[in-house]
Amino acid sequence: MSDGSVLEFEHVSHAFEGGLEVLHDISLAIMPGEIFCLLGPSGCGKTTTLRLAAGLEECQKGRVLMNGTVVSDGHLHVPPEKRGVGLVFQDTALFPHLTVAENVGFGLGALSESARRARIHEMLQQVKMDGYSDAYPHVLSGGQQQRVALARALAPDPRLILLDEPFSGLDAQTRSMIREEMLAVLKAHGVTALVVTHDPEEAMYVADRIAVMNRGRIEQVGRPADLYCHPLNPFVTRFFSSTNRFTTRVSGGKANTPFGPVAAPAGAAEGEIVEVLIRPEAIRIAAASRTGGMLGPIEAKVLDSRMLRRAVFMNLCIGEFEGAHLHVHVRSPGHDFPAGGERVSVSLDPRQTFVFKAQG
Amino acid sequence: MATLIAIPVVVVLLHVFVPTGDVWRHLASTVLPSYIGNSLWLMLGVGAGTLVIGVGTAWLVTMCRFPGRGIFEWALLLPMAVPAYVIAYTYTGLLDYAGPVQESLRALFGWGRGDYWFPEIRSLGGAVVMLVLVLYPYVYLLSRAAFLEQSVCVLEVSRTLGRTPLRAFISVALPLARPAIATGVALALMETLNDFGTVQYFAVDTFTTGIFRTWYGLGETAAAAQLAAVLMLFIFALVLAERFSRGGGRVHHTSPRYRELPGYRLKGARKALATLACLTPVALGFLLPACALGYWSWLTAPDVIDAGFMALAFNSFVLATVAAALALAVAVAIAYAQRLRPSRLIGAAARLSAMGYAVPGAVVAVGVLIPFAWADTAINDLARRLFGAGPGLILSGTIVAVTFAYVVRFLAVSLNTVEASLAKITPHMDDAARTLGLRPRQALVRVHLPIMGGSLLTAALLVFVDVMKELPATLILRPFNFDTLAIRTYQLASDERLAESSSAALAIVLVGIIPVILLSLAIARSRPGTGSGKETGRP
Repeated sequence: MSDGSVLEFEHVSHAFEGGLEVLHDISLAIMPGEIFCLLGPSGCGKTTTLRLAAGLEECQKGRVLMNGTVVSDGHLHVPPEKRGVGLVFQDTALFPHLTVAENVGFGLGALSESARRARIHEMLQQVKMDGYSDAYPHVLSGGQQQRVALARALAPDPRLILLDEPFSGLDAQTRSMIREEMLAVLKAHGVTALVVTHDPEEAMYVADRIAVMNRGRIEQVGRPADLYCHPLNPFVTRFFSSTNRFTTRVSGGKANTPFGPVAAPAGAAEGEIVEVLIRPEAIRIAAASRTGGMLGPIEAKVLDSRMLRRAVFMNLCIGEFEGAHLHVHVRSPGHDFPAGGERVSVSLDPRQTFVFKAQG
Repeated sequence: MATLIAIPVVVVLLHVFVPTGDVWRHLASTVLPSYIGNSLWLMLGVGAGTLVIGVGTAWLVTMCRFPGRGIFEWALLLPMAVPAYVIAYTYTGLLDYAGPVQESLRALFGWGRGDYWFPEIRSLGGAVVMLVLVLYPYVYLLSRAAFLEQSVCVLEVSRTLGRTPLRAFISVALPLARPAIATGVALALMETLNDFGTVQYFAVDTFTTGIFRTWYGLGETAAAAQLAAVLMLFIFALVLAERFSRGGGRVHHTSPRYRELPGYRLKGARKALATLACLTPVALGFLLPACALGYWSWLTAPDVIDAGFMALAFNSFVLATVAAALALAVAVAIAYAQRLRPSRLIGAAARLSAMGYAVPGAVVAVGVLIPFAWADTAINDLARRLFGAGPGLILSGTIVAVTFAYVVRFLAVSLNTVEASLAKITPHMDDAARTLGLRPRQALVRVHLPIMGGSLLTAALLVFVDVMKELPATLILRPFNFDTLAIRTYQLASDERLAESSSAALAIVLVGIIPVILLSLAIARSRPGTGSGKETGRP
């Protein structure tokens, strides 16, 4: 048991009716004031984890603790209404028959009428929705509904707030705005939050720490920068961005690449096949890469190049490598870029190159 | 509970295997062919008639602009308020030899008896016309809903691909709406098979009249049940055909965009034709019969409306209220069982118990009476052995039997409404309520009840009205000397006292208007995207 954690999972496994296992031996601890993100593709078990935390699912195997007290362990189960958690959904789940103010006041049954009104007002002010007290949910926009849902969840002052894909229902522009506002509100309250999302950028933006999940298991837990710069396995590497991938052999303790040798994973034997993953921004056109630590340069032919908003995207063909032409995708900042058919020299940033033992 | 509701249907079906020997052979060789023939002709006529009128008016009202469109939109539903037997009695009163139409013809041309030809209203053809007039709203309702749901974009694409508005309708809108139209026609045909009052009065022998006659005239329980079983085969065929037409071409709406419907502005003669095409079914199916009933009722009311009449109304009201409350309670229980513990078994049980609406009232009645009579005998035998005297009939021949039959028959009406409204409360709302500190029962009171309240009332009201109109099951199952408005209408009409029956009939029609109002309100709200007021052209 970790000391002082707000929410802790100890070796939790969970199966749906019919035996399908959705969580396998999950352990994690969330500290006070922390914004913790569960990140993974759909069906990885992140929402089930959140529902276990809320008490909406009963823990079958392992234990769930809140503030050091067991709330669910297969025998005992503290129901959601006794846990003091707040919950925000993608679909907001506002009560359609109640006004904005009544929705926010829904969980404030214990307060006196005047204290309640004050609290509702305070919450609506924080999410910039004062002035909508008497409106019904259906007249609000998606972003406004989401703010009310957050105010409703925060109003009873929960120990822990759970957010299930809170921004995915919104269009791109509203999303970044609401995301920033909600983050500010959460931080202002100093509330501990567990956020579920499938969007790596969103997770990196809001989270203090991220747990990457895949097929009911936690692949890696860490700060956003750790996960991006030091991924432990190919899944985590590829979940944060597309990568150029090829296999190669270990020779002389290094993994061979067209740009030169890079460090092989610890314990890889001589001649063993390893998997190399290179982020598109790790390959740079030579002119722009006078900095130290780069591998190369080598010559490549531009097959195709196009301007995206903040970067140039190129499709390059790098000469022969292990008996075949190697195609790589390159993303480089700036506005000048070579046309298709030109020959350029490129170099590689080994810090954004990841080598893993080949699996299977 | 769902199993209990399914008992009558199962009992009837099991009777296929009970040997009845001579009676059945007699029936099979004499009346069965005419039952089948008449039923088929009725279905064919009603199917074709409701299809043409229902789809045609739905298209005109939805896609075209012409005078009176806003009114026809809901007025076309009005004939639903008139039970088939009431319209049959009314038109007989208007059109038979002694009726006002033939009398004025004779007066006008100086004809005598037999000088002229006039169509006989009390015939198979007459029955078809009567049923079409009151049943086409089913097709209208469903095909209009389907047309409204269709994205205009799909129609516009077909226009840019070179289709005229009419061709676009035939090649795009109609196929897209086909499942809904098929369902509408299937419902109309089920009502046709259910009809007892009209065919009985017009002396068109079908299964329902056959069941009634075999039961009462010949006292042959088993044979009546077997007729009911054969009728059920027709119903099953219809249900299967409907399912098949739906499953075979599942229609998905490919374009999520909704916009104002095109609203072709009709001009000149077309405009007048469209108005006439919509006015005719409304006038014949509702206005004319309602006026006739109103007039007769005004003439006879002083004699008819007395303490006895009020007692009838009271009986109808009590029966309908009790049945509506029970049907609602059962529907709520089943809907929640499905939500809380979704399993295939409960789902199947729910579907089975909701089959009742497809089962004709006469069949339900037979299916209720057989097990109830058996239970009564068993109870009396037991009581006599224990106490030396039996309590008499406590189930069959009492209000219990009638009420049970109503619940069996109309459960689907309440179940559908309750299920639809329960579906609007997403599981996430439950979760949110729980995390905000409510126990499950509190969540039920503070979230579910306020959201569902209106729908629960609607569900009960729909059953209430259906019970008020119901005739065959009431006729077979009612306690001795226990009459309702529907029964009195039937009895007076059978005695050729049509004018005197009009007050009771009018009361039934007036009550029947309630669901029509509810329906048109629901439709006005149904279309996503545009505001309903704009779309219907009303403020």
